[in-house]
Amino acid sequence: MEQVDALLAEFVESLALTPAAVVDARWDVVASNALARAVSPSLAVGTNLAEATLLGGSARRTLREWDVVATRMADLLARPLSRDDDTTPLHGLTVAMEHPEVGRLDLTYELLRVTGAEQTVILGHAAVASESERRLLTLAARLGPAAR
Amino acid sequence: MERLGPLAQFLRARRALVQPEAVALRRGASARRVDGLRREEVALLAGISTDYYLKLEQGRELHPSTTVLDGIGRALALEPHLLLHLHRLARPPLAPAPRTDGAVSPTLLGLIRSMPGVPCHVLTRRLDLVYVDPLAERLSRAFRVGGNLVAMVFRPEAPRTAAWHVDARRAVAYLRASVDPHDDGPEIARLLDELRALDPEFEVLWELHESGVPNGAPTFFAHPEVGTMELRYQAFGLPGTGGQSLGMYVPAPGGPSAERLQLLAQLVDDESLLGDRGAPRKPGATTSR
Repeated sequence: MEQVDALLAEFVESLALTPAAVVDARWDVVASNALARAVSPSLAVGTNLAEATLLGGSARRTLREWDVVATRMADLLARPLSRDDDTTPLHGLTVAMEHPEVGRLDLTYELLRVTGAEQTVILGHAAVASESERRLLTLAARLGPAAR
Repeated sequence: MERLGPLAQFLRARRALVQPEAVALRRGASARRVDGLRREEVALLAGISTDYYLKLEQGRELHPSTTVLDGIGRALALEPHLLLHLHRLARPPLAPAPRTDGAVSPTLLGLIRSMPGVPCHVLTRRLDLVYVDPLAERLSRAFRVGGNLVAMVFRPEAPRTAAWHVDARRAVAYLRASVDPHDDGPEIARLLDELRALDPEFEVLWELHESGVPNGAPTFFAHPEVGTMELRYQAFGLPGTGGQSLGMYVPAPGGPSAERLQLLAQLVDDESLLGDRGAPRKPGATTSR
């Protein structure tokens, strides 16, 4: 696994209300914050996010439209995000899941390229003032300050 | 000189800057030697023929192998980020990017809105600001859509302190890292002319051919409402946008800067609750460190 820059890891951890993870070129999760791990076990460090999404039992159980997400994941695998000349717009990926503790969560994930490393930062967000935002905040509050 | 390709320009500029000791060459006792290597010395240290090296500097050879580039990197004592830059210069030019409308992705704006405590802006390849969130606007009056990150450093009213020089050098290296080195189109040319007109020092720094994204670099904001904050820059590339990037200013967790930034975010939030008829905004000033 590729090393994560210390400041980047600190940044990811400092986001208390944003699920955040860093994946390498093979989609291995190399860093993630407590809220990301609380949203999905697929975002735990050491997990291969592509494999967990395409083949994992938990993804199949919890994602409402697993086939849509799996198709997007497969597209992403075929498209290295580090290419400078890529001009196909890459909009956030909205994933609807049934969270075992807080219920339905509709989160949109943005993929951001880390400069100088073959890594991608994944940041999740819910629509402002939505039910999902309220549930995400509930999940964050349960983690408490100690877990952050 | 500008008509030479970016690889040739880089090699000439960097060769002149090498201190012989950095590559284990001795300044001869008798020779009144100044900084810089001779072409033969670079070729010898890089393990290539002088002829071949000459071709590179004359722009007659544009795409040397990675082995040759690594050898030249050693010969010129390039730091890792400059070695990466050298490899980038030797790659074929990018296909001209289809004109995008420059719009910022709506879902990215959604992400930025979901992080009201983090000052964010979105930049083009030229480091023009195309989006500034309310907290970044409040953080510095220089952060406005239409502004340019490098031009704001070179604005005449910024005092030219030692700290300013650090910031300026960093900003110019950021521009080198951000633009496509093969792009000499009118938009880039216009920006470079504008920067040269602001301060002749820009050209001096531009000709150092340094290149690097200032991730983690400390930036100081002297804010009239909450006091001075030290925030670190974090930039991320936005895939598929033709070169846009997202820049954020992040405090060290738990420190006084984090507290002050939180206070500022609270002020912005209070005013947005009052609506636009609330208290007039008093954007803060930024200082260079």
